[in-house]
Amino acid sequence: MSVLRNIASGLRSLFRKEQVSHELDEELNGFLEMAVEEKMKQGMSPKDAPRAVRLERGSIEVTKEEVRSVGWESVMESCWQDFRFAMRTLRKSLGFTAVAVLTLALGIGANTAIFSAIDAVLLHPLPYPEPDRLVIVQETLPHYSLHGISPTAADYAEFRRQTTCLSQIAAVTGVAATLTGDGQPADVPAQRITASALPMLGVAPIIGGLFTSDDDQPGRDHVAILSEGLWARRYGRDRSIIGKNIQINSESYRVAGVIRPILDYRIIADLWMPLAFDRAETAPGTRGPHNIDVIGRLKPGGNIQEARDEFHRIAALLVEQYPNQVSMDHGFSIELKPLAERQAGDLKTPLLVLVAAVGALMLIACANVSNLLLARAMMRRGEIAIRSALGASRVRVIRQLLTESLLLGSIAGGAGTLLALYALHLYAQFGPAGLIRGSHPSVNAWVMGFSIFVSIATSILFGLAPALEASRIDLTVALKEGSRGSTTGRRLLRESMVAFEVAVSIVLLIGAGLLVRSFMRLERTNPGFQSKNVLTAFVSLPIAQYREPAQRAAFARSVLERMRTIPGVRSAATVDFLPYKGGSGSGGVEIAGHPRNPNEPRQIIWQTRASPQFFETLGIPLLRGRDIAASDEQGSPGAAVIDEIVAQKLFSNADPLGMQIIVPLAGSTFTVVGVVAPTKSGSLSAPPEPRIYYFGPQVPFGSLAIVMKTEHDPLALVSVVRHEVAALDPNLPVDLLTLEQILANSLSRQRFSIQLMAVFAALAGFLAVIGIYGVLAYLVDQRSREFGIRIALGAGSVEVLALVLRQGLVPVAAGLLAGTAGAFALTRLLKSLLYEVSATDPLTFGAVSMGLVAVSLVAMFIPARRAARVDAMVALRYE
Amino acid sequence: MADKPSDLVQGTLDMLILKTLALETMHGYGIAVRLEQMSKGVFRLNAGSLFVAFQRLQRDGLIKSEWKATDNSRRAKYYALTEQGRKRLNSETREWGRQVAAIARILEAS
Repeated sequence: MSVLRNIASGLRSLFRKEQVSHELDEELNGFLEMAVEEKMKQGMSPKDAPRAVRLERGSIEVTKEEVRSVGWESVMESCWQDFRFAMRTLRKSLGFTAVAVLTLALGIGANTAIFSAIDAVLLHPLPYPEPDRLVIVQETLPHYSLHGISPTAADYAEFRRQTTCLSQIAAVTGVAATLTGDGQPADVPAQRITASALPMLGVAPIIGGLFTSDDDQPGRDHVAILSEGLWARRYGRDRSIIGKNIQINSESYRVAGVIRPILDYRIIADLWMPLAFDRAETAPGTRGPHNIDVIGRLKPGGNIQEARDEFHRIAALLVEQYPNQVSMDHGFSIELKPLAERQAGDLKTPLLVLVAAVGALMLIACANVSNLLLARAMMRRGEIAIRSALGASRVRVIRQLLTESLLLGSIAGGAGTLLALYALHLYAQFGPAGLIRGSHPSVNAWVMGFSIFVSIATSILFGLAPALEASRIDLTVALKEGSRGSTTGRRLLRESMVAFEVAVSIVLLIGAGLLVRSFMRLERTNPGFQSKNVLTAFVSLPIAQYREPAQRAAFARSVLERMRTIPGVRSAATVDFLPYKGGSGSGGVEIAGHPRNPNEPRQIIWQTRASPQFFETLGIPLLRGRDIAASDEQGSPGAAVIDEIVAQKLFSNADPLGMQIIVPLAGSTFTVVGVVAPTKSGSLSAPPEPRIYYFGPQVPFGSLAIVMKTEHDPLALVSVVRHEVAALDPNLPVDLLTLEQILANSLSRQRFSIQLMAVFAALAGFLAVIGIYGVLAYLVDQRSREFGIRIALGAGSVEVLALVLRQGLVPVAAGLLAGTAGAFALTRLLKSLLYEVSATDPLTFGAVSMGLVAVSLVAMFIPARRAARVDAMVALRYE
Repeated sequence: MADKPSDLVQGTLDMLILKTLALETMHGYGIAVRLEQMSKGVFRLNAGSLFVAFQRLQRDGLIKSEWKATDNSRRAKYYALTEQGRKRLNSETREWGRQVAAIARILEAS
């Protein structure tokens, strides 16, 4: 009640100011008149009585002021006054306002944009209810040097039987899906999920329904759920799609519903089908591929540590129960990880580096604006002195100045948020797709809150020092017109800010420099094959139509024949993987007749089915022996070409040519006919991976890549290739890319974040240089009379120039030292992001420092030259 | 503080005003005079502190005001105690009594 009355009364004084003031006047006058009457009754003269009353009771104006300041509205009113005054001051010096707002807006914009990514990836990555309770189960098989891999179907069944800590558990696996029927055939990324997955994640369909537990029984699993995107793209948001059949991999699936994308930590799927295990797959002790992701939800009130302990026990149990499984001895373990962590994955470090970069950028922006404000405070000394002389307390002056900073900060905050919105819009349009997986950074309430917080915090950060400094005023000195006073203290503050800016920007520039250099090395890394003029075409043969192995082999043969006849194609080959796109599998390879020592860790070797001419097409040098020949396809055994790493690992010093090896993925034995140079086809920054290429009567897999070396621009052949494939099978979607595009795509995420980092660092350096310029220009301005006198007394312009440069060099040198030392300490945090560049790369350190010094010298030279050119007469007359 | 022969203990002015108004409604000057009379001139109040107190008490809903004509037909704002004000006066008087007794005990003990 009382609060309401208080507000009402306050509002009345605010909005009916006249009336309230009038009432108070009347009441007070009455009070004093009565007092005067009383005095006169006591015998005072009408002249003395009012005076006595005033002395005794206080003057009416002061009283009114006191009464008025009782309510909250008076505080608001004075804030409003401060605000209007700040508006006027800022409007009066538009140049200053524009520079300050722009500087801060850049900082706030960059911070807001990066924070929106942090929010989307690290803070709120999972769009499900109670995301903290979702965990993912991962296995480690040290024997195979495999860490954090997916469990198998049998493991999933085991977990489901054993776990008590997870109230819900689901399995997910990625699959290839080709849509045919409605329009162009298309490959879409898809997942098979157990029916338990959707309720566990708390997903609600946009239209239609979800899977039922009947759906993940083998044979009844021809049900599909579409993503909203696919529904819009392919089916035009047609609601009647529910219950209809669509063709997936040439089989009929009934559409159950449409949902927003889920489980996008690995791929962003557009299509979901039930994951139905048959009995054989999940029988206890079965060995299957490690390709089943297991996701669970902790039971209410349970914590992850309990669940971890439980899964450690399950791991021990598995080892004990199935000792014959080699994969499970030697430290087999099961780990639980929050799903959010899996989702963030390897994005965490680069994002945190970017956060540090924009944070530093913000600090530099603050220092710059702070410096501007300090310079302004010097010019406004007269104004502040008058305010103090008229009775404004120091706190009041500081409040006024901080109101100005807050206003600057708020305008910049608004502009910065708009900037961030625009940047996110650009990113959504032109940024590399899937850069931060399925996350869509947006300016939501959290991000807005962050932006407002940053605006206010920075306002205080950059405003406080100048306000404290400006309000510390010696009236007698300040009011003497034209007096310059002593500026030593202030100069120290300004110069240390410049030193700080230089230091921070040096750290940032060195960090960015290291990353750029490392990226340039990465781009120039020789992957072991020639990517120029290579066109790749990827097709998935739907199992329904190519069920017979002979059909797949025939398709591979005929597609190759057709490609080789295309004019402009020098050579062509089929293969079951593409560098940087994956395909085929890996595992142990054995030399026939030489059983492996089971206690030795197994070598993981990639196994690829490649046709003749593959090495020629990709420019992989053949070191020994011969290429795979067409006749090897009918050979018994088939032929294999190994790369040098395999040769070394399997045969050490022996001659591998003519040896028989067993390739488990192909399920048979091959004769080694050649040795080729190693290639990097998983990651450019990792060492080359061992690989075996085999060719024999074994049937190719359903996914097939055709690689072609072309005479000229490979993209010119795209339509011909499409046409030739369509001539064989019009329902096959073809994914055409040049090898150079694939390579560039594999680096796109890194390229983008390094470009961002470079932009931020460049901005920081630019702001720091502006800061140096500003301080020196101000100094020259302040001391132009002194320079005039010096020149009048005979100092040469070189001497004055040197004087100013020396002034500027001190903070720059200090900043340089501090910055280099800081970079030395901090760049080691970047280590995991650097490729073939040391974290203390002397070249980068040297180049960045020299560069910044050179640019600062230019920035210093401009005001210094002005100082040297001061006209003695003009400068002396000026005062 | 020449106009204030004795400073009031912080916060007691509100209580005294409430006490004054407990007997009858009064205008500002009347309250000032009554307080001075009752305190036998120990307290002399300047308009500032008095009207600030009125403003505060009114906002807290402890007193209410009304414009009325005075005895010598002048218009003046008369203040009256509200029900809430009366309760507050009672509780504060009790509290004051307790405190004074306590302070007195301490002073006598030493």
